[in-house]
Amino acid sequence: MSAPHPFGSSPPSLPPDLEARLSASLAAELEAPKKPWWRDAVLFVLSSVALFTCGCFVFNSQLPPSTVSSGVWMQSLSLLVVALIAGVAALAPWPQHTSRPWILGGLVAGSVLVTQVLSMEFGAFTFHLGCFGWELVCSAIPAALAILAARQHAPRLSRAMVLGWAAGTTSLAVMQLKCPHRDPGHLLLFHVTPLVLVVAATMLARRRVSTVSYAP
Amino acid sequence: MTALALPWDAAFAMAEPAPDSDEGLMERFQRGERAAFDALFRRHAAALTSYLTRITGSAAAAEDAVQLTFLSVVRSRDQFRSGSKVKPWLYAIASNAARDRHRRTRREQPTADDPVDAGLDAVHGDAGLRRRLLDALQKLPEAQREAVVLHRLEGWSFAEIAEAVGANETAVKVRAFRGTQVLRELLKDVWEFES
Repeated sequence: MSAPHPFGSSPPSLPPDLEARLSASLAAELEAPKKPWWRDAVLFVLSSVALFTCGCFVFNSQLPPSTVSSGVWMQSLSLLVVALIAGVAALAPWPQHTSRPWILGGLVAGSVLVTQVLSMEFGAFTFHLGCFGWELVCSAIPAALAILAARQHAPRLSRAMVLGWAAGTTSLAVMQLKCPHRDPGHLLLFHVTPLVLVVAATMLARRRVSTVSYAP
Repeated sequence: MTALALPWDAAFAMAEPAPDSDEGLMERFQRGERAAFDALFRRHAAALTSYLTRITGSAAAAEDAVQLTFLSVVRSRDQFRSGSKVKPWLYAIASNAARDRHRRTRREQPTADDPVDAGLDAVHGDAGLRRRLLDALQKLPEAQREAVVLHRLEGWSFAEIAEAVGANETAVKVRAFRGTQVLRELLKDVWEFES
């Protein structure tokens, strides 16, 4: 049975005043110089790589030679991992990958936790609050650039989460260079907890900042 | 000299979107043709405003969201993939914009003066009935509201909706079914749904 259709069935038309207002704002946008949407994502990856490289130069001399993170090969490998994680995170908002940020997020989070567990040396708990603060400080720039990259797309918590993980991972890797302690309690409390905080802060900040484009 | 027509030419020619189709206009806009964007705007702005009015329940919110939608189209024109359909992409942007706007601003309580159907001509039914339906729609969860509006009111197929909202077809059917059930309950005294 055909139902009455209270919303109307004929094609709608746009009020002339609305059309004029929209045309004016769109004209300004059309005149503006075009910015490549991937620019912020590339900046994010570059900042992660730069932060880790700086960390190598600054903290290398402070580590005892026996520390697992002090070797050139290990640091090169870590740099590759950092670049890979940042690159994967930057791919999450890529238009072709819109349905897969959770998978990418899982991969990033999993790889970070596995590296942490593998680097653990069981022993006495080391209390060193400085690691916590340093890690948060080191995350600031990558996290800020991650939020800028996320602004280019429709707000999705999964995207913000993946980018937050990547930003936190970079500073986690830098702290691996600085900190000689490898006991599980120290790593979890003073290294992994700040990483989780960075993820949460990135997700929260993404909800607050404005969106450049709502394209999926 | 006449060019030799090869058998696969026809197939490739068919793959090219017609210049006046949505996809053709989008391609022309991506190449920098401003007139193509104007044509897309004229073709879809009114329907999008109508859709967003139903989704947001407020004409003012719909106007904001439609502006954000077309600004996003301009800013993200390079992200539109060749071979995709423009309409689901456009409505996906509109839904994202409406959702975000709704989260950021407190829901505007429409007043008696709020022109809920501003610009929609030839609307049947009385204003009170339309207001009740819009209010009832606002009581649905966002995903169900989108499915109900696009399927029942805009006449989209489930496959088209699935493409626009980034979900699978079964999920969209379930949302539309559940949303319709709630609407039927809310409006049982005024609106007789077809089964």
